[in-house]
Amino acid sequence: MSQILLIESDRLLASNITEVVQGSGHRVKWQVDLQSAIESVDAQHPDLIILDLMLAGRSGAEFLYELRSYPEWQSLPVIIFSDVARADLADSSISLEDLAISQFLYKPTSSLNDLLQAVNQALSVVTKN
Amino acid sequence: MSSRTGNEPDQLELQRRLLAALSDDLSLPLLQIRTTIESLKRPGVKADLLEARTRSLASHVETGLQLVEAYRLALRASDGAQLQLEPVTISSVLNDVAQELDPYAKQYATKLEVDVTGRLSPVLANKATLSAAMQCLGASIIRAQAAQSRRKGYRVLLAAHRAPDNLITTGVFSNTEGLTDHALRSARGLVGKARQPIPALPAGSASGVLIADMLCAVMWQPLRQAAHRQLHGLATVVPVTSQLRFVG
Repeated sequence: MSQILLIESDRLLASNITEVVQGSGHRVKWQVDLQSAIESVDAQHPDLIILDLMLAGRSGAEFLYELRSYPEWQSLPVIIFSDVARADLADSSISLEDLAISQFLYKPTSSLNDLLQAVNQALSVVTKN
Repeated sequence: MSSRTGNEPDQLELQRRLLAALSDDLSLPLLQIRTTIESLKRPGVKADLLEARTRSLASHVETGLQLVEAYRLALRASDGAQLQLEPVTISSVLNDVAQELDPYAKQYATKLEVDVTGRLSPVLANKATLSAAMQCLGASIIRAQAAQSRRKGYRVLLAAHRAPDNLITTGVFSNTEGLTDHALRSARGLVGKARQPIPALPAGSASGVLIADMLCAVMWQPLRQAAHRQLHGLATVVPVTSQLRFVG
């Protein structure tokens, strides 16, 4: 059973994501704010993170920069599940290229099943390594 | 933002921004509906969960429809349409809005209360516009507060009071942070351009605040930072000229 940290700003979406991912045999811990998320990574050592980019107060990208600045979390798989399209990020100063993202899923065009497949795929890569 | 000048490029720009904001705002209830349906497709979903989720779906649909109605009113206002004003009792509008928003608030573990201090005289307003503004603002603040920190429960007040200068203030109050006059001012310039015009609020919440702001501005005054019973929030002010006094 893998530990997954879900960082999602909307409580109802988080509940639906949790149900589907937990239904597949993983354990999910949900956090809504980035400070609690960082503390959660520290305390629980998740195997994978599902990250929303548009959160209240701080952006998910900011969290990602902070996460990758710690050597022990540089290879922790992160899946972005957000309603910001990757193309929209190209116009901003945020560059995800160096942040080792496992997959970038755009919410309006990705189902929860796509998310679950991405989770299982990222976890299988970790297991192989 | 209430362009009553008939300046065509400004109106087109305003309508483009409204459309962009609506698309941001509507994506949340639609995503909630889709992911709820997906979560119910799992094998072995129990009947009580199915029933709860059906209620939740109805609430998402209702929120989406209310948003569309609020945008429709804002568009009409941006076209310079004259609002039909009538005597309205604020407490009655707030109670109706609270009743409609309550199932939505419950899903966000939020206790929704109405608090009207003292007896307020009826005001000249367009009831549908006032209801839509309070509904949009209330739903946005319910979502925003729950997105700022994880707690067991939250509280949101739909409230009105008379200030010492005899003006009536009515709005939505909570512990949501970052709803300041400064944040509102900069957000008004960013609506429809930035995905997160109020950085303290998550995706899909700021546009609702700005639509409420526009509807209040058309009727009375735009939203501004206010406080009520030690909670902070956003409220509009009813000018004295719009307050009715009946002499018995």
